[in-house]
Amino acid sequence: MFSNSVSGSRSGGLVIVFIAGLSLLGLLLLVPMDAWSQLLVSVVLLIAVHLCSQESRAYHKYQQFFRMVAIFLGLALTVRYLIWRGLYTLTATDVLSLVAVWLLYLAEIYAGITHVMGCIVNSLPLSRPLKTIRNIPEEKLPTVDVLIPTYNEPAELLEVTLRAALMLKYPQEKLAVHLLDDGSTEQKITQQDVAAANRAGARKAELSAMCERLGVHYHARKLNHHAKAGNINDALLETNGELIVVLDADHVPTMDFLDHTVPWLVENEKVFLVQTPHFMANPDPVERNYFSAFSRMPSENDMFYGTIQRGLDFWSASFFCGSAAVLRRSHLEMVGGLSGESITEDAETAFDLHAMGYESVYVDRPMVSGLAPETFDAFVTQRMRWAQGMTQILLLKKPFMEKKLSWHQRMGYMSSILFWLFPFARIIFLLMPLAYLVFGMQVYHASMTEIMAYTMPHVIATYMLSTMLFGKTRWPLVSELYEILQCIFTLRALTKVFRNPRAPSFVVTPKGENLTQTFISPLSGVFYALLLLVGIAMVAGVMKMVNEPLTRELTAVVLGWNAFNLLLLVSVMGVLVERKQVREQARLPANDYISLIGSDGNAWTGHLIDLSLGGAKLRLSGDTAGLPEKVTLITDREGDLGKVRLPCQVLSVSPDNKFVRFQFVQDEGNIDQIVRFVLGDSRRWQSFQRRRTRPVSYWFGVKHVLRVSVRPAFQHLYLNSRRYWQKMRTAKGST
Amino acid sequence: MKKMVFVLLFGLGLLSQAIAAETHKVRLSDLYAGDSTLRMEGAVAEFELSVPLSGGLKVEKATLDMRAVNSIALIRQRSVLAVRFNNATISQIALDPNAPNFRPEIDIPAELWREGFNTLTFAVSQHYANQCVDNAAPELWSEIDLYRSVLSVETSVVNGPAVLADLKNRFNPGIGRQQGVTLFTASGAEQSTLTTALPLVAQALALRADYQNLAIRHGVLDNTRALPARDDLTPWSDEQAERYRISSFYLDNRSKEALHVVVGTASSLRPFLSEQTFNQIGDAYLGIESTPAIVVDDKVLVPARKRLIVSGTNEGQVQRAATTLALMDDALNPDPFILIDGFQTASNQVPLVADTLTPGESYSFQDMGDGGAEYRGETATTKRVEFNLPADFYVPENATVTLLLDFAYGAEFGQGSMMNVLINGKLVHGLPLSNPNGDSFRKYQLNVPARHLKGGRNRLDFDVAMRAPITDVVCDDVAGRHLYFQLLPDSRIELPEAGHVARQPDLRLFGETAYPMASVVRKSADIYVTRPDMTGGALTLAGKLAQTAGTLLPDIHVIEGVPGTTTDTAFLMTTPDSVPQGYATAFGASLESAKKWPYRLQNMLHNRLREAAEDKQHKNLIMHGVTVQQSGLGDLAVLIAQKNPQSDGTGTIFMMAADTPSQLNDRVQDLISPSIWGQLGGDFFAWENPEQPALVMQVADVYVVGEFEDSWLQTRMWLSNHPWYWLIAFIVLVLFCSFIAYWLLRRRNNKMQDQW
Repeated sequence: MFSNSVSGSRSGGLVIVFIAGLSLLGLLLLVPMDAWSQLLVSVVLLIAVHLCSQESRAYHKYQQFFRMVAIFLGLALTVRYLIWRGLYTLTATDVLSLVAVWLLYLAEIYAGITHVMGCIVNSLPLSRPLKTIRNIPEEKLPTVDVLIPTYNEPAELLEVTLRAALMLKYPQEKLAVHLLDDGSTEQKITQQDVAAANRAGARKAELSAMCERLGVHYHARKLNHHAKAGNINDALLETNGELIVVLDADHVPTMDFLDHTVPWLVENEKVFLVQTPHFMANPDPVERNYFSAFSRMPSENDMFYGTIQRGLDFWSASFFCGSAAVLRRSHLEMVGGLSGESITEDAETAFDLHAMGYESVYVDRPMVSGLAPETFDAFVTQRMRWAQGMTQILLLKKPFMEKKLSWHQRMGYMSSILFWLFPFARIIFLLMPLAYLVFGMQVYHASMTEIMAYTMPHVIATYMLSTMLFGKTRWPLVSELYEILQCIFTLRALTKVFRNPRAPSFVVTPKGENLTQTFISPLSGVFYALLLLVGIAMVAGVMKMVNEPLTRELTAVVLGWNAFNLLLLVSVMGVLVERKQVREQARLPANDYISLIGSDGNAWTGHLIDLSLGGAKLRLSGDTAGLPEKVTLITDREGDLGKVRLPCQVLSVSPDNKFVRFQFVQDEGNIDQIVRFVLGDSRRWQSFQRRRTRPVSYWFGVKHVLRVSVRPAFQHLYLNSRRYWQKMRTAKGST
Repeated sequence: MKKMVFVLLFGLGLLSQAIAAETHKVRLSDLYAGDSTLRMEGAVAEFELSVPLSGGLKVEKATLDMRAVNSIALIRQRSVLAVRFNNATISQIALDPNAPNFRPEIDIPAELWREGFNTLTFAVSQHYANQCVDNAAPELWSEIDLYRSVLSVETSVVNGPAVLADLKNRFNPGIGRQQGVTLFTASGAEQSTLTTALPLVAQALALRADYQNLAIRHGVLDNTRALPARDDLTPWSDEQAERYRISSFYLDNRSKEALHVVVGTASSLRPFLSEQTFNQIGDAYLGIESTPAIVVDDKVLVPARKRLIVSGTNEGQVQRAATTLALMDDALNPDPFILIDGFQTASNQVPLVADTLTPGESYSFQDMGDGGAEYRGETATTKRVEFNLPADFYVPENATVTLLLDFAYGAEFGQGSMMNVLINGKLVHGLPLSNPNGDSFRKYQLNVPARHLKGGRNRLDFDVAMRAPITDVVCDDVAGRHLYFQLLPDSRIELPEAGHVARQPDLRLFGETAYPMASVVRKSADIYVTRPDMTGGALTLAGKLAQTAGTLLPDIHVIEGVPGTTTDTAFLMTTPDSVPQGYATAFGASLESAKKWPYRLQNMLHNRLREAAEDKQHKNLIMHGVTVQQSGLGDLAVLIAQKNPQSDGTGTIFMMAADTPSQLNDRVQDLISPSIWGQLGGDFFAWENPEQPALVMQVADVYVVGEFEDSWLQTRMWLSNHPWYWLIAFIVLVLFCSFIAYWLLRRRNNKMQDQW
């Protein structure tokens, strides 16, 4: 006790010294110096940031100290830049220019603040150990209700999720699985639209039969109020498990999901939430359409779940992401179930419970695989909901003023929320070069020396810090691409929230769609317009360079900025070409050692190359000769899976490279085993994730983007021409 | 009878003075700041030269001896050079392709001359064909060699009663002006007269000469001198002796000075003044009078002269009179003398401030005494607006100066019409005058980095090119007489806030602004001479400093001898053998008998040879140190600037040395010539003629002087000069904060782990 108070007073004193040090540092950044001197110190500081960030990646005693020094140095360059911009560059010759100057500066302030917050949040991401219920006596294990809300997902998709939930490694008497069907409520069945009502009735019959067959509790409520949150809250009244697992309809848990999450709740009564990553088994439209490198580069999710949530966890601010999480019923009941003021009920509920002093835990192991939206349209729908929901929390709950939260929790929430305001800044960054290049407005008053002394070091330092903090989970330019893709649509959605914070309603993200042919996304129009504008700015900029030698330096800088925007927009074109995807099941890389046994007892061994619920592809170690059509796949995976025996039908054999493609025989008796084998092992997701999360150099990232950008741009031309050609032919034919 | 003869001769003497004619020869290149060859191109070209003529002179005869050459592609009948004087055509010369080099001698009628500025115009019309002449054809040219073209002007002095208003005629720049003047003080004159009043008078007269040289000498009136012996050995009568006493007997008879000055209290000057003049001096006194000629036996012993008397009943009044001389407008004083009762000034303001724009303020061109500009017809010309800023004008690099221009141009400007704006020779804005309907701009705003401005004189140039439109029809040129451009005097300049900081030593800044001898902050800056016979040189320098600053510098004193502690900023004139103690050892270059020459001189010589020989084998020589040697300066004079080792503050001392006082005075005359003064630079400057410096270089370490009204600005300048200090402090703080943050985070991390 005594030592605690001594240590407390010591750290209190240290905090005061730290604040004093920061104040001095701020003062030092505020004192003016000429640009050449600034340039000199910038170069030295950038070298220092580089060296420290290199050191922070090496494993040694001072690794984290170097990380801290790099963060401080890099942030100092950013703060210095913003101070300089604010004090010395915000002049304008007319009102319009003044507005443009301030808009740009506000966008930069926004970017600066989110960057600073991001650095603080991710300064020391927490690494929790993997716990297991094996160390807990069975009688102490709480009862668990697995709640799977559904709205319009097909039965086949649900069946996989339900089967996986039923196979969770947990005492069966303490585990209950519930399907919460909001697509077959009384309200739906009795709606005026007869066809829709019939479909809802049929769905109810189909799903209830399936639940009965599988041993799952089926729930369908009367009314569809409060969407997903309401569905879960209503189910809470009909269930009584001590812990609640929420799984989206497409979120298939691995067998060890409860094994690694429940101990955190058992050991600490104050924990209300254990969140795990959402592992996406299929690429989102950007990954599929643009990069075609789903298995080789980090997914968009990886940055959030691989780094940011761990950072938030360190500051006790990791939040509920709507699925793949375990919650404590008693805590949920204290806030009346899932909060429903916003359309991101998950984050809102976590916010409420954090404010009550309860704790959250983030377990960084992918134990739930889900489906990312397949089309760009669905992707945008999902992101608009997230942006609107987080902004609702900002406006309705005002986390920055919530006194019951600690300062770091407030910062954590603000960091997560403010990120979603990026459309405002991104659009300004995208269009501001036009103000100068086309309309001649002086939006940035600085000499070349000043740009070299302040702007460039800030940009470079920001990149260096981002690479240090997120390099493994986010490749260069990828964030910019995602932001540009979403900004126009999200901006519209955000404007609605700002006008009326309670207006937005929950929209279910369409998933599991199949794309039967390659086509241009219907949302492309706005990007064509942007591309045209930025292209016009390029032409105007080149003309300005030639005709206005006096301003050539500044024009060159703005032109470079515009060219960067152009590159991003051209890259965006790639995403808008929705590629054909006929495979029903997402196929993921695998490397299991397996044997194929024929009915005559002969065996062929090899390694799996990829794997899906439908089947797999493998490379045989020996000759393919004599491989029968019907074989049995035998493998022995370590851990919970144990021995696997699956009857398979060989589809194709390639004797040259020894590839064999086969499908699983989907008998009732096999399905559980297939689900368990394909989707039930978290180590498979973990190794896949590790394989694709690797840092690359900035130039590699840029080269990658450039390489994959060119073809889609031509593809747009080709597909659009083809469409118009077909339209013309149709029109001619009809006349 | 004798008395009558004397008076008659006295009158004749005056007459002789009036009718004495003098011929002045001026190269046209001296009247032009640009290149010495004037090239006139195109079908029509015109060029004007201003020819100033001093007042009080009558031109008897004037001739222009021209040297020119024209293109051999011109056709004689239609190619003419017209010479105009004050807009009257005085000569037309056919440009003959068969005699392209020509040397006309043109008489300029005397009656065309007027006091002040006269305009000499050269206008050519040049054709290579009888029709369809392309205005831009390269063969349309002719040249006037301004250096070899000489203007000879024979003038005579217009006699009249001596009044103070004549002063402007004597010294104002122009042909026939007085180029030297002697200031006399009585032997045993009061110290303040010598130290304060004399420099004030010297400055007052130099300011009238504007930028032209004015050699100032110092003489001492000695009343103990016996009357000269007459040839017939007859004694001087009392009356004659009295006339002799009040004459300018103290002047050398060969002196051509039309006016000289006597300075001192009435009591000290009494032996040389008439009773009437002495009685008039009841207060601060400025008077101009003619002294009688002393002609004895047909021999002019003392010619009649005019003298300016700066006096008063006490030293204060003498100073007041001297100050008034510098500040007064001559034209307002048509009297032979004035008595000055006192000054009424708003504050103890330095006169320099009145002539200098204040940072942070906004001024219209009109406020700066500029009336804007109007141009008509096809032309390419420059409108220059000049203004003074404090010499120690210092602004941060991100400060901007705003120009709010009111200008307009008329309809139908052709391609190539434009306006460029330059600040101190740096192009900051260009605007095509391309609207076919013309355009009118009010408060056309230009934000320009204030670093383009500098301490001292600043130039704002508007290069305007007005071109007639092209018709695209052969031989159908538009004459362009309709072109009209106007720059209004309402245009403004908004200056940023600035500090008073300057890097020293800097002879360039000294040459351009007289800083730090002249400063907006009132502070004494004295000129010290180690020998009394250097006083003339010191006064000449004081006059030049006033000319450079453009105003009176009341805090400059001339002091004989060098005290232990000098003023913070000081100018020391010395010979190598009289360099005061303490001024030799502390310097990188020493001017005493045992001279210290910096190696950099040798480096410079080596490197110059290396470059001339294109010697790539040897590197540039960069050696540090000095050579100590026993040697003389010869005809050289050396001016060095250093941090003042003998002052309490951080001022600069300028030290000038020549082998003898007479050489020093001569070199001062060379120094103030525009060609040498204009090339001042570095902190080590040597010269031996008025044409070209022998050596210009930087020897000493640079330091900063000034008064920061704004500590923010002071910090900026200091840090900009010492970024490493900032960097070290910054890194230390970052390490400190990082360590604490690291410690706190680790502590939190451990605490969480303990819970697991």
